[in-house]
Amino acid sequence: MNNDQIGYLLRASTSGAVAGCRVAELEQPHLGCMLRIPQAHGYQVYGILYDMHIDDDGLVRQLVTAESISPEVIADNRLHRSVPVEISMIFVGYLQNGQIFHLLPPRPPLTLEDVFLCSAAEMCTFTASGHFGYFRHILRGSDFPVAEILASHLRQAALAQHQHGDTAWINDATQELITLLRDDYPTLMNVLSALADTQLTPQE
Amino acid sequence: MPVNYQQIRSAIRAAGQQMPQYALKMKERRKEVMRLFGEYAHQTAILGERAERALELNGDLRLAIPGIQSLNTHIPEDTTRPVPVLWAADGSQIIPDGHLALQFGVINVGLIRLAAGETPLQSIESQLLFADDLYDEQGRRLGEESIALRRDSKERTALLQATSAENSPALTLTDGPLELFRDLRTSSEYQQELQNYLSILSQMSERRLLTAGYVDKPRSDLVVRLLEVLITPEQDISKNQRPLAGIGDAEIFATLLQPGERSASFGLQSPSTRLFQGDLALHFFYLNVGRANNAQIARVEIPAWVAKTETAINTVQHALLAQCRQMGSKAYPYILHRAHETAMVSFDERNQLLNLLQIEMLNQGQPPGETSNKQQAKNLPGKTRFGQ
Repeated sequence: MNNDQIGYLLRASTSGAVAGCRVAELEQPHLGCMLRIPQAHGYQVYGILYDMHIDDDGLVRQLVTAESISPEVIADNRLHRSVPVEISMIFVGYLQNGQIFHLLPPRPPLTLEDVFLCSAAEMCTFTASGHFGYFRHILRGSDFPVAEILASHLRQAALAQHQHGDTAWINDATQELITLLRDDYPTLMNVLSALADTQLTPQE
Repeated sequence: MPVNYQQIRSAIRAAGQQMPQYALKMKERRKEVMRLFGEYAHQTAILGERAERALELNGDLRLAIPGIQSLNTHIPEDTTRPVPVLWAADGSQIIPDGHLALQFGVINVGLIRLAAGETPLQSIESQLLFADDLYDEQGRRLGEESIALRRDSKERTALLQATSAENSPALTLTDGPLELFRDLRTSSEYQQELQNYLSILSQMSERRLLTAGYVDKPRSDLVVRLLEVLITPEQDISKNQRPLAGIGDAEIFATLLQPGERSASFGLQSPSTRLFQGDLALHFFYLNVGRANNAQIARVEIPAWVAKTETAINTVQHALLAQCRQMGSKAYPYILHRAHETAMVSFDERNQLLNLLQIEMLNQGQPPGETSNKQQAKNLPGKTRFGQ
């Protein structure tokens, strides 16, 4: 795996996918980060990470009953035992013929496709393209904490945009969210409350 | 058809009715064992002489030979001993099945290395047995025993090779006894594999590589057998009489050993151990890997080159206890479990290998074989309820 690759695709549908990665490779992805799954002929699917699932097994359950676990046993479990971390993502758009669309991908990627973390530049390109159309895919979510995922994503995207000189992006994004959620007061309050907790300033 | 529960129920009831009487008999025997154990605990010279005489009269005896330490020696863990680099190997196998489309076997050996402060290593060595490999020199198809024998030998070979580049002191572990138990003793294949096995142990001995075989929940009665020859008249020793049958050594040592303690080291005498001579002679000790009020006794087999020095035995004891502690209340060396987990070949994997072989046959223009009719019938889905 190269530096930005976080794992391989386990399963996918038209609206999202689950990738598997080893515990040892879990340092890079964060909740709300942007992921990309390159396909043939320049077609690429974008997703936002909304869940990381770490399963146990019989041995792990037994090991936790020990008074202390030695570092080499912990390392062995993380490096060698085939217990993948499952990373769930919702699809938020795709790249085709050099153009970014904030639509669901025309077809889901196939199993064992490489899954990469988007760089700051890639995240800027995607989030600045169009007019925040990808927000609706996140807001539609029913099986994950929408406000938390949005707040986490906006913080990462705002920092990336700030690094690339666009300080107004976060204000525009927030305004768009207020517009989108104007008829859903409880969700709007949740999102704004979560955004307040990210301690983003307009300068960021 | 399910089990005939009516028949089994009456058999279970009959067995249950016998239990109080059986328990009483065992209690008496246990009492006698503990009496003899206490009485002769310090008379190891007498015990040794008696064991030698018994072996002269009956070479088939399998018993413990006491050393210079008394029988009731109990040695606590020496936590100051450094834990050496640990290597463990375990094997599993696919036995050729004549009912499958193609006959093949696999011997799989999993290896694990654990060392403090170093990245753990894991490797798997797999050997496919196909076509001519499936037959011995006499043209007989390899059975379960033959493949298990080869697997035992491969485990040891893998450990020897893996530790060849080891600069630090190392301890190699395998699950089960070091003694080879196979029902093929008269076959040339057994003799060949045995010589190979002994040669590997010799090389380990030359390198003074610590080696141990770990037997969990041992059912052996080697010390009890030693006590039995004390109370058996000489003329009856060759008759293989067992006045204390049913009592295992673990019962004695569960009362004697505190958590973390080990017994004295005993020599292991059996018809097959006669081939393990000099530095390879097999010894064992019992180890309590359990907790207070919950003794869990394991038997640890070690070769003479390890048994010769108390510090080496103490190192093995400390390393095993440290490994067992990793597994919480169900004490068992973590590294041995991992070696087993690494080596294990599942039923699904067997089917996948069969598919790969069939594809390769077709690629080579060869017939992919055909599952037997009997197996095909067995593979049919079972009876289900209507609508399911």
